Amino acid sequence: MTNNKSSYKVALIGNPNSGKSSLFNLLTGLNQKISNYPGVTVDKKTGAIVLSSGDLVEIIDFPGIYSLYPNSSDEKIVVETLTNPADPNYPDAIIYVAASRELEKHFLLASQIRELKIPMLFCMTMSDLNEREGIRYDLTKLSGYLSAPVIEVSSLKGINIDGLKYKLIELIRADKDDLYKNDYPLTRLEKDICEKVQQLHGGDNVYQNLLIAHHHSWLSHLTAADRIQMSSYIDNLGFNSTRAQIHETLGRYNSFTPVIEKAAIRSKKDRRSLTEKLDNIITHRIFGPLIFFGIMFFIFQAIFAWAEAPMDWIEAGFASLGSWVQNVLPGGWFTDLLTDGVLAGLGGIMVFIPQITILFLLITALEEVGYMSRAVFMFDSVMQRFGLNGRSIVALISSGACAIPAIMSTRTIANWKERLITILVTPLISCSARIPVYTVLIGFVVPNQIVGKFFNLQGLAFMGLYILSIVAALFSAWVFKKILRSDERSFLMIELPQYKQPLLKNVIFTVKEKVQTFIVEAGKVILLISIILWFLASYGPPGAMGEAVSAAQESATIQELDEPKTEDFIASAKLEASYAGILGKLIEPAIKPLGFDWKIGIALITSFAAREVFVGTMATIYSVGSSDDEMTVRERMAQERNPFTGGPRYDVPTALSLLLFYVFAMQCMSTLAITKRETKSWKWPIVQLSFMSVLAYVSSLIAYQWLS
Amino acid sequence: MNRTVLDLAIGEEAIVKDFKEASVACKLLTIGIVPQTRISLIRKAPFGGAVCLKLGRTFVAVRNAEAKAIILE
Repeated sequence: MTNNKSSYKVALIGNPNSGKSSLFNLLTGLNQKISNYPGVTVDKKTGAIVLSSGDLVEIIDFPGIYSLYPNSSDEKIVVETLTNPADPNYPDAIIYVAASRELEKHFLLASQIRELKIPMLFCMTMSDLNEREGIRYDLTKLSGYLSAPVIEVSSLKGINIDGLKYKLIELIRADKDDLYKNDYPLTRLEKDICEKVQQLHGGDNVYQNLLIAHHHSWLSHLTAADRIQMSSYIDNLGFNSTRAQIHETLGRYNSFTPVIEKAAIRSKKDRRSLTEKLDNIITHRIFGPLIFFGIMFFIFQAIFAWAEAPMDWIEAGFASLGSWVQNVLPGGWFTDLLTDGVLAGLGGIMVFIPQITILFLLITALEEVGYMSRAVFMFDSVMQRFGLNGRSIVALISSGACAIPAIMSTRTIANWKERLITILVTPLISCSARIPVYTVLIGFVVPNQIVGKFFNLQGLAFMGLYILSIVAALFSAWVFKKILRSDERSFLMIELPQYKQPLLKNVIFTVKEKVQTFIVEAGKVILLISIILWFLASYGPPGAMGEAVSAAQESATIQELDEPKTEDFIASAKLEASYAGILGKLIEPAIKPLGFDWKIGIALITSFAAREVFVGTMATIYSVGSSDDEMTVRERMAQERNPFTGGPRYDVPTALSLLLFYVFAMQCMSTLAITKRETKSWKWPIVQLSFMSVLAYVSSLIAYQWLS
Repeated sequence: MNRTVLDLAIGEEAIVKDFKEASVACKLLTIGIVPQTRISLIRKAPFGGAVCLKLGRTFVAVRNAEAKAIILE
């Protein structure tokens, strides 16, 4: 029985909300790693532990799943792995994690897993909660049915985790596990099909072969030839996958329900749980939506109020780091690249970390408590009217921080059309990268005054922009709903888990992981773009640059400017002659009807990759050197004159037009990249870019032409 | 006339008998809505469209279309 391997893979498998993540965090602690499953972007969480026997075990936390007949794309990963023994993630052993309420639901999946003949441990979590609810189980009876060890643990209190690890040592040493005797009896037709799959594909596990037959249309480890042969064979036999699935599922329930009934020891009658009482208020027809909007309002207040101080520290930190580098390193192109390109670009992204962390912290806490599924339930019908799914609300809320994790969260939406529309409209919701742009521009449109004693006019305008972005997202979703065709049936089926106190460890791990992903994913792009931008703004066609500098020098001498002013003057002349300047002039005819000149054109080009670059570009263009101080940028912009009218460059029509442009435009390369990865085609990021650009251009055009 | 979950009064409990559509059935089965189980309608969503059901000690939200496919004894 003993096989001596250097390391083992152990999979954590179970229903959603079964306490899998808590157990994973408890087992692996800080030794966690996030990577992707081959070919897809579903996060794969792994952690390494060393058991007391000295064995090294890699624990893989799989997405939550109810059955090996999956609906959504993250659930399909589990089946993809478990039907392919050659998969790099194919486990040596499985810890099946079950919440001890409603064991029937867990036995459905656990009994399917048992037929794969992978050694399994049945681990019941939250046993403390269970005792409170007055139900216990005779573990030997459960273990007898599953022919697998059954163990109770509490992730909350850390009870029996050592016992679990001890059992794990025995488990990984077992080679193959043939103990399970309650196999689902195959029908004649299913037997034939399994034999055929074995002939074609070679695997000798009967149940694995049956699953392959059911899922052959999407399993990626099958070759195209296998797929075609299987599908023609299965069609010829008249195999109805849905009907077979119902038959199998009912067969399983009939087999284990009496066992669970006998194993249950009920000490007192069910009474109405705390969750039910809370839900009477939280999902109440009037209080429910009110509480929801109250929570949203609180989140946005928190983002602005709590993030201010740390954002100032980060900005100051990067400023002093930049001047330190400039002092220490010898002058030259490399130092310029490092300070104006790399550090400016990195600072631009790092400054959002506090806001993003706060947003993720609050959203994760809402998820941990169990609130998100209530929001899904409450707003499903509203979302459906716009072609979205109740689950879309989770993506729409988190895109207030950043569209990237929001788009990734749409994987739980099983219906492709609803998921696609959610992905397409999510970037319209004002994300945290728009905040600095709004801050700079709003002052040119709305005066800073108090109305009605309480409300700051600029604050109200800020909120107005957010509401505008939500309206735009819902409206676009409605348009896509009318355009896109789909015959796929849409459904909603979501468990409303018991409310529970969030585990601090879980929240911290999730937030850390999301913030890290954001920094790495967005950081890579921003770094690259800022280096390119620095190059384009610093260099121009040979000769032209030198001429511009000497001409500027001359006119500065004639106007008798002092030294800093001369430097500013030369810098802006250089910018005009640089490649970036040439590009700005090139697009000027197209953006003139919106009230923009070539300098704003440069900002539009540079912020195409990431909108937060706008403020930095403005600072460079209006020759404030490399300082990122928003007050000075705004003052410089206020001083800028329109050469034709003589009035201020940033009058109300221009500033409003620019604001609207930034509300609607798709200025985020990272989001486009994520859309490409999640939709697996170039078509949808191109559609997304096009419709948002049209929306931005047209609304700016109307605003400017109407007001000026 | 078959009574479905959607015909239940709020708070009323009944026993699941069968399903109207196979494609809905196979999804409902996986979350534990199985013939012979007790099911009760807890509440309707604030803006309609979906209902919250109670099975034993778990709560599940489904759309009206799915609820209408659950036939009661």
